[in-house]
Amino acid sequence: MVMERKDFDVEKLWRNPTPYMENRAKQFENRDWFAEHMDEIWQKYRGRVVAVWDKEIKAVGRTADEVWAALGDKYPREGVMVILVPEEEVFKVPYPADMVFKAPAAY
Amino acid sequence: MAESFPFRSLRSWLQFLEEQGDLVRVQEEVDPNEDITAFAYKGCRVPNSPSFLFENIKGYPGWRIASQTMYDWQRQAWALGISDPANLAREIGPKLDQRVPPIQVSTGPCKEVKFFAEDADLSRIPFCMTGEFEGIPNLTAGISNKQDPETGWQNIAIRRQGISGRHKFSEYINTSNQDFQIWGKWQLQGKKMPVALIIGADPVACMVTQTKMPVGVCEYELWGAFTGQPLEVVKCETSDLLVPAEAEIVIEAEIEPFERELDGPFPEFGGYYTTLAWVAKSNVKCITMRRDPIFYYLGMGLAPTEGHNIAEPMQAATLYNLLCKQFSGIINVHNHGWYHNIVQVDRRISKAWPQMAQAIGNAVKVAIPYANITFVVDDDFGADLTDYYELMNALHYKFAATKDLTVLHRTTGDLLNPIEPWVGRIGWQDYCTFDLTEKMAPWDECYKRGKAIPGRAARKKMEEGLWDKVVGRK
Ligand SMILES: [Mn+2]
Repeated sequence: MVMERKDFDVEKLWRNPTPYMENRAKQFENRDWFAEHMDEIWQKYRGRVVAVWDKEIKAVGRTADEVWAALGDKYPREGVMVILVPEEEVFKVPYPADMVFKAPAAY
Repeated sequence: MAESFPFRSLRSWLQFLEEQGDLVRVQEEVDPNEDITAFAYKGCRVPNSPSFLFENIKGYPGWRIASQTMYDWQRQAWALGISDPANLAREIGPKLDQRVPPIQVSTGPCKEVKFFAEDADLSRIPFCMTGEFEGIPNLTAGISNKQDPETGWQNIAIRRQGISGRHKFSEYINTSNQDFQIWGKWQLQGKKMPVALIIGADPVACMVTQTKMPVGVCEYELWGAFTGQPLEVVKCETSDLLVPAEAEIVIEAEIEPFERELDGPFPEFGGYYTTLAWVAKSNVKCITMRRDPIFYYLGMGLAPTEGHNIAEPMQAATLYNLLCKQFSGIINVHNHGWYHNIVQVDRRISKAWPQMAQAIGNAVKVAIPYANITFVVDDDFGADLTDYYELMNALHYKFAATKDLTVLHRTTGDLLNPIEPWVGRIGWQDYCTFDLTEKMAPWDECYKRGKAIPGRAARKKMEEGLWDKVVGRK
């Protein structure tokens, strides 16, 4: 069938990841650091766009373009985490479990 | 030779589109960070835009990404084997009462390759970003399957997931959805809830998720009702959840009852970014896929998008089905941009019942709790319910707000609609029904004198060749 790609075996690529994939995984780590430090980051940077890399805020701006300009090409685009920190407080979606059990400390 | 209806896989659907001259294969390298969404955004804003198969994905050599294949009613009519898109609601509506259960087969193409535990790594899949403030990619085209722990009912729906780790994702489970009710039961039992995300299913499997069915109805049964044949499904590796055998990719996970994951901001279908929120957290157990998988990007954000568009015919069909059971004289239903509905009625009936439009508006709101506006028009409107000028005309010539507008104050809304800031609030919104039908006496005197258009004979001459002869083009 025309839509098949016989020359591609996803399993091989899976075992030999590209730098892009490793950068994406790095972005996930940046996200985790951001989530862990959400409260301090929100206090300091609410309403701003921030870039997170390697457990640090590497750039802050009013727009994504400003942040990317400040970052230059020092970090891979798919790895650095550029994110808007909204003005309003981080929302905790109320779920049934919260009504019955004590929410864990991390939440 | 073209694969024909019903399309059992994304790739047979793509092949059909290609043979219609509708599919563009993109050889230029595209970055999952926003390039693909930019194609989708523009594609929804220029006439006759094609559907896309991106074949050169930065960082993911060999992978392909399809997009826009269900954008517009014409493509959805093809997928459903319906010749005229204007008839979608009328042809699908009655089929919503039929059930053709899926059949379980032992294995299928979606299980050609399997990755478990540490190997089930989300960084290996080309998830796309929709906007510039997202931070991490989000899955927009995942059909999520969740099962009621008490009744065994499996409910499928397209949900959004924030891809926040190699082995985890966030899901903002909207409190107005059936998923929320199902997950509530698991939470109260203190148990992890198995979930399956199906990526790259056939088009009808995507569309059935957009119907508004009661609790207990598995949308897989509608696949069979729409196509006349049962959908082939296979059991997940780590749960009893069933997924279409021909899917491209399946992600199996468990949603934690007590843990939360940070989600957003995301450019939602409410037209604006949502905020950051602590929502449901899922841990990935297993990923299965075809050996040469095709990923799917479903456009999201400011309407129109493919995400809005695939909901339109199915919501219209749902309303057509329900309204026909409650009213006589329902001619057709259209849904526009998810929140707005146009219901067309026979004026011989509506004129005799001054509050018919209001009653229809109320029925729509019961069927779709987040509906925003319902326009009720009559047959004077013409057959094309997408005609924007006709709608404006009806508002101008048939509508006086003090008698023809019904507002339900502070009624149910959608938390993702920014009309009411949804952070920590309920998502209240007002709902209104515009009665654009011709009224009873004494308000119908002018309509009786006739519509202000050229005479029938003169118009007929145009249709019979005078226009073509003089203007020389169609
Ligand atoms: Mn459902």
